[in-house]
Amino acid sequence: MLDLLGIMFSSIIMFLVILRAIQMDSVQPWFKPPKMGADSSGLRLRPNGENQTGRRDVTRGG
Amino acid sequence: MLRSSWLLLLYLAFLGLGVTTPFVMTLGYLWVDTFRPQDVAWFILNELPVAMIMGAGAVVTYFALDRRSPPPLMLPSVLQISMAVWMTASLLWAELPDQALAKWDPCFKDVVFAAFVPLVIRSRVQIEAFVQVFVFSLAANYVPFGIKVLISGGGYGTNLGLAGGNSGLAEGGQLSTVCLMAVPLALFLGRHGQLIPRLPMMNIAYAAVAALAFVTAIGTYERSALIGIVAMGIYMFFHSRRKFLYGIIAGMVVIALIVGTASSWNERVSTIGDYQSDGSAMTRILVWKWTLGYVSTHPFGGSFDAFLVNTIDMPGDALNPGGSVQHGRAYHSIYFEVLGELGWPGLAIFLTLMGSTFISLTRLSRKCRKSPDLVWAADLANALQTGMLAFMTSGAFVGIAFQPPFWYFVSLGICLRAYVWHAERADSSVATGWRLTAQRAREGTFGEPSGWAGPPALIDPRAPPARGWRASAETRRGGP
Repeated sequence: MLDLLGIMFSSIIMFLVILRAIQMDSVQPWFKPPKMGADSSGLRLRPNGENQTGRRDVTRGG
Repeated sequence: MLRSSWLLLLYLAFLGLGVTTPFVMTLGYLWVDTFRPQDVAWFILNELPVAMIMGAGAVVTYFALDRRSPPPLMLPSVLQISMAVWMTASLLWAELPDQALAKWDPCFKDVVFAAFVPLVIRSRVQIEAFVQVFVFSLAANYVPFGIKVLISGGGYGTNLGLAGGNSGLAEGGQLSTVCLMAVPLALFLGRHGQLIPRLPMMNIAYAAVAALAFVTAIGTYERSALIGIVAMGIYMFFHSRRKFLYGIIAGMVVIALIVGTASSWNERVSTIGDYQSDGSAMTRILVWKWTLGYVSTHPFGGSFDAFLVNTIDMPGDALNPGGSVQHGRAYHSIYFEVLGELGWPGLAIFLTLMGSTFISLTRLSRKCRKSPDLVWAADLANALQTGMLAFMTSGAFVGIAFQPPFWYFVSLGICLRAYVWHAERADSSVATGWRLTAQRAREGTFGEPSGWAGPPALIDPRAPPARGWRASAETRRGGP
C-alpha cells in the first residue's frame, strides 16, 4: 500500500511539473540575459515577441 | 494490477507528450532509467524494451524537431564520449567477453545518453524539469522506504523498496548513495523551483522529501552512507550562508541520529574503523590489492566484470580460523571498478571528468552568485557539487561507477554551464567574427550592415496604444 502511495505521489507531482514545464517553456525566453542588481522575477515576453528591454528575443524557443 | 496499469498510463503519456515536445521524451527516458518501471510492473512494461523505445524516441524527436541552441562543446562532453569509446574498445581485450558484453550494454547506453542530454535540456525550465523528474523518480522508491524506516526501522540487507533482488536501487549501497545525491537537489527545488506553485509550505514539503531521502540512506545501515553524510555535511557547512543556523540544524540531526537509531545501527557503523576483524571491509581491501596487482600486468584493465577472475585469500577469523579462498569478489569501489575494468586510461578519463566537472561547477557558482538573475544557477551548481561529493565519498565503497546518477549529474553540469553561456550572449545584439559570417549565411543577408539585430518585431500597427503602467514603461524606454 505504501509502495503504491509512493508511486502515485511521485508520478502525479512529476506529471504536473512536466505539464507546467511544457507550458512555460513555450512562452518564456530560453536564455534570459543576466542583469547585475536586477530583481530575479524573470523577464516575460510580450505577445509580439519582445522582452521587457524592448529587444526582440531571437533566442526564444517555442 | 493497479500499479502496472498506472505505470503503463504514465509511460504512454510520456510518449504522447514527447512526440510534440521533444524534451519530454528525454525526461521520459530519465524516468525509465531512474525509476525503472520495467522492474516493478507486472505486465506489458516488463515485457517491452521500454528504455530503448523511449531513448530512440528522444533521439529521433530531437533531430527531427528540436535542434535549436546547441550547447558549446565542453571538456566533460568530450570526456563522456571518450569514455564510451574506451569502454567499447575494452571489449577487444575482455577477460570474460560474454560477461563483459552483458555489462557493457547498459553502461554504454547510460554514458551515451548522458552525453546526449545537454543537446536537449537547454533552458532553465527544461533544466529544472530534469531535476524534478530525477528527484521524483527516485522519490517513488525512497518515500515509501523512508516512511517504513520511520515506522519500523531499517536494517542492513533489508529491502524495503519497490524492486526485489540485490541490484539497482534494491541494493543498499546504491540506494543510499543516490538518495544522498538527491538530498541537495530536493533542497534546491524547494528554494528555486518555478514549476510547482510557490505555496507557503512548499519549502517545507521539499525539505520533507529531502529528509525522507536522508532517512532512507540511514535506514539501509550502509557505512558508506555515513561517510557520504559526513562529507556532505562538512561541504554544505562551508557553503552555507547561515552557518550558525546550519550548525544548530546539523547538531539536532546528529542528536536525533544518536537517540533515534537502533543499537544495531550504532553497532554496524561503529565497525567502520575495525576493518581487520570485519570480513566485509577486509574483503574490500584484499580485492583492491588484487586490482592494483592486476592492472600492473594489464594496464588497460580486463574490461567489464573482470573481477570474476580474482582469487582472494581471506585471513582466518572466528568462523574460519584457517582462512578461506574466495573467488570473483566485486570491487566495491567506483575507483577500483573503473581501474580494474578500464585500466589506467579509463581511470584517468573518469577522474578528469569528475575533477573538471567539480571545478567548473565551483567557478560557475562563483560567477553566477554576482548576478541576482543567476543565483538559482549558483545554487544548482552547489547542489550538484554536493551530490557529486556524496557519490565520490560513498562511492569509494560501492561499485556504482557506471550507474546513471553520476553521469546525469555531469550532464546537468554541462547543461547549466551551457545555459549561462547562452544567457550571457543573449544580451548582445551584434554578432562578430565567424558568428557574424554564419549568421549572414543563414539569413542570406551578406549585404546588410553589420549591426543587424535580428528580425523585426511583429508589432501590429493597428494595435491600440499602451495605457497605464505599460505606457509609462514604454516612455521610460524611449517609445513603443
